[in-house]
Amino acid sequence: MEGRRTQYEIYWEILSFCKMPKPITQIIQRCDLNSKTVQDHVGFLESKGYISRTVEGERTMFLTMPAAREFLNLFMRIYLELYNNSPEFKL
Amino acid sequence: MEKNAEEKFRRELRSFTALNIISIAFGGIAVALAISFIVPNVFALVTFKPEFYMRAISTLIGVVVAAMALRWLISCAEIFSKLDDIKDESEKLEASHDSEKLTGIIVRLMALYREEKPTIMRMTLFSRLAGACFIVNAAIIAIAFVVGLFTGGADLLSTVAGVSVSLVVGAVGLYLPSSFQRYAAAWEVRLQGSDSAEKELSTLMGVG
Repeated sequence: MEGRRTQYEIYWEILSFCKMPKPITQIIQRCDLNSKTVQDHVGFLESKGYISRTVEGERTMFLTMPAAREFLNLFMRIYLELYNNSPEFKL
Repeated sequence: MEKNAEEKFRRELRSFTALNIISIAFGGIAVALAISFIVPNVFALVTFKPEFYMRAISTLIGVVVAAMALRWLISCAEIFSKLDDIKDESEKLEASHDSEKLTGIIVRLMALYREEKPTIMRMTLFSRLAGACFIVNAAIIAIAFVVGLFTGGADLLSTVAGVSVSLVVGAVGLYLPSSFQRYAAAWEVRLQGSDSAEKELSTLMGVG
């Protein structure tokens, strides 16, 4: 994903992507951010109990926890409402 | 609500894609026309005809318009390329009708607008200037025709063609910014909404 996003948009991107266990490399690729930034964001989400890390063989995988559901639902509701309630662009 | 948002998103994406295609076409035509104004005028300048000063101004306008139109063309192509990626993703949405995917695409479009906002603002200015230049050029061609009536170098057919083309391209150049401004206005409302959303999300997450 390109462009400028807010930190909450990045959190949402990480959490929705990690509904299935994902390694950090895939999260970096998906969010199009550098490793340090992604580590910081993932660390924050872990501290909130929104994401957990598990070691599978030699790989560390990240998985979104049920605690994140409220954030994901609220984010989706707000953004869909925001889009729906704004004026439509027409040529 | 999701269905409405999805349909609205499709309509907007179509409109913005069309606007980009029109803009690319305008940029291409403007570059071609500007060059077609420059070349004969430069040759005429060498021969120092009576309408020398008119030709010199026309050449200068042509050079300015060519530079602006080229920059415009590149900016439009860059936006179009990013939009095309989002369009590919939205095609997957058509099959699934997934609210989460739609939210992801809305986030991407919002990020695209935040990133391209300075370019869009610059493009609206360039387009207005280029449009104004074409209209001034139409006036110059008409004045050159009147001068030519007295000096014997008037060509009605080429004057009518030159004035018509310049006026049409100038009008398109002046119309396009209003469309980009409507696009920007729609996204500004959403950006303001996303700022308020941050407060709600930060409260939920216990941040700040």
